[in-house]
Amino acid sequence: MGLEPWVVIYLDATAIIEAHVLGIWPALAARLPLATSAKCLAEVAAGNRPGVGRVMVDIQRVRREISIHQVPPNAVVEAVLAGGFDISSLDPGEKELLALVRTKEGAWSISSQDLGCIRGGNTLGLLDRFVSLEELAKAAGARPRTPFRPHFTKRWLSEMRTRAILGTL
Amino acid sequence: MGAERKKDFHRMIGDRIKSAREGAALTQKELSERLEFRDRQTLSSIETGERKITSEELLSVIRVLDKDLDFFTDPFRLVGEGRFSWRAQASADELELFEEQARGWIAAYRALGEDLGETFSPLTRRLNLTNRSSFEDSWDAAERLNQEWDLGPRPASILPRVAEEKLDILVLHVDMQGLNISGAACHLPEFDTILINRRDREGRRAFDFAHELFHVLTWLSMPPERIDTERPRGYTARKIELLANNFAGALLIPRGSILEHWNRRGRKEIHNWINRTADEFGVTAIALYYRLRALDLIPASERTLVDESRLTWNGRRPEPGKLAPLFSANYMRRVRKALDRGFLSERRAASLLGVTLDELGSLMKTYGLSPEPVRAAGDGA
Repeated sequence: MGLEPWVVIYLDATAIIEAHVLGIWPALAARLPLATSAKCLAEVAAGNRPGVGRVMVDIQRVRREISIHQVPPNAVVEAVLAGGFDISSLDPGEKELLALVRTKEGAWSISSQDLGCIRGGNTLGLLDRFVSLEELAKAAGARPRTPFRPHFTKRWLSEMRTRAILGTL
Repeated sequence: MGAERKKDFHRMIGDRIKSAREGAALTQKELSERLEFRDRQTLSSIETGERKITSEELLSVIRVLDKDLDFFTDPFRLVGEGRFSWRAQASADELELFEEQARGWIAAYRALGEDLGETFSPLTRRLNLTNRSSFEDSWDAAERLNQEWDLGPRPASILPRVAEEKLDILVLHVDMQGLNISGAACHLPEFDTILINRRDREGRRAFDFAHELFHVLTWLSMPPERIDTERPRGYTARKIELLANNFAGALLIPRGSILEHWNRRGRKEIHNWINRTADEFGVTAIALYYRLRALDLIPASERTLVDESRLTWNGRRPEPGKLAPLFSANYMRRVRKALDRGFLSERRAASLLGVTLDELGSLMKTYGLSPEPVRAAGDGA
């Protein structure tokens, strides 16, 4: 799925944090329709502790800038039963985000850079909906203050996608 | 997800429904009625994993049995399985919370092993002892085990590593979160686990490990109490603990080795000698004293002079920078592999281990584990 301006991007906690670390959050939030689940945002808030070299996420600002979705329990139950261990072994936020996107129609993508999440997404048939943070930055015309770490690149995602399709994850 | 893995998933859900139903003292018929199933057979086939549960049915089960979704579906939980024996001075409630976390560590090790195709040995080693065995039998067993495993004259420092290799057990060095817990053993049909308080003094750690090892090796013939205190109630429980202590003493302080030291003692003052020799063996002075008494080495005239409060050597307290790293190399290797294959997400791994994402990264580095480099697509798994 291309990154046309109407495609809603669902972000997991890691994607939100990394976008802040790289300084690309303002551009992403201004130019792309972003969304997440309530649990993912709670996870961002829980890890938001000051420390040397740590970037704080302004949770209130994130709340204003993106849509936060409550995920109904039956959606999570359905996703877990459909995905088995590949979903039930995920973190609550990741599980909820995959359950959320399964209920969405129309144009959307998901940005999660965790291999566990990609495995789960593959099992649920959502693999072609994944998009890297690097691609999001490019679409929003944002320049990161440091190079993207491997997991956040288009190349890494493409390789993991190929491995998932080949069954070699 | 492979068909077999999917089948296992539904079998796990079935097992857990059965466990929760039995915990609520409900028959299949009673629960079927509460769930408004057409017949008991539907529930029976769900419990055996023959029939996949639907989302509506699972939501009803969650509501009626008052459990959360994870209770039925999280592979990193031990539900209705895994028996613990804690060497602790803590209340059952305090232990319950910590045990829940320990159950997660152990369940994850097993589940990830299955995902990665790393199976456990189908054989179980055991000590040929029962609660009718004498203390001499337990010393003899320890001495022979020492020889068979080639533990040498001072086994304390190498015993955990050797036991891990020889028995295919899991050894975890953990923080006990302020609770007065020295260690624990957990028995599962597939493998056993020994938990060690990494902040304890070295002498105590060594003795606790050897004591728990006894429980692991005799679990089926002498199942230990859930809370293993210094003064167990009941004859059998007391006997089992005394056998475990005697075994631990003999394993850590081999007869030949201590005789050699004793013969070289000369006229050295008994308390100083015991404290210093305990240091050499890596055990507590009290453990050494009881071993000397068991071997009948201290003459009766000198025994009356011994003041146990002067036997103060318990080993060095690990310095903050020199603590054994959390968990173990084997454990973290499995977690790393699972992360590299996507059987576990980084966030889930961190919450499971009770660390932050940054701490997880540091822990991996401590064990020299780094993420698998990205391979070119299609170059094989």
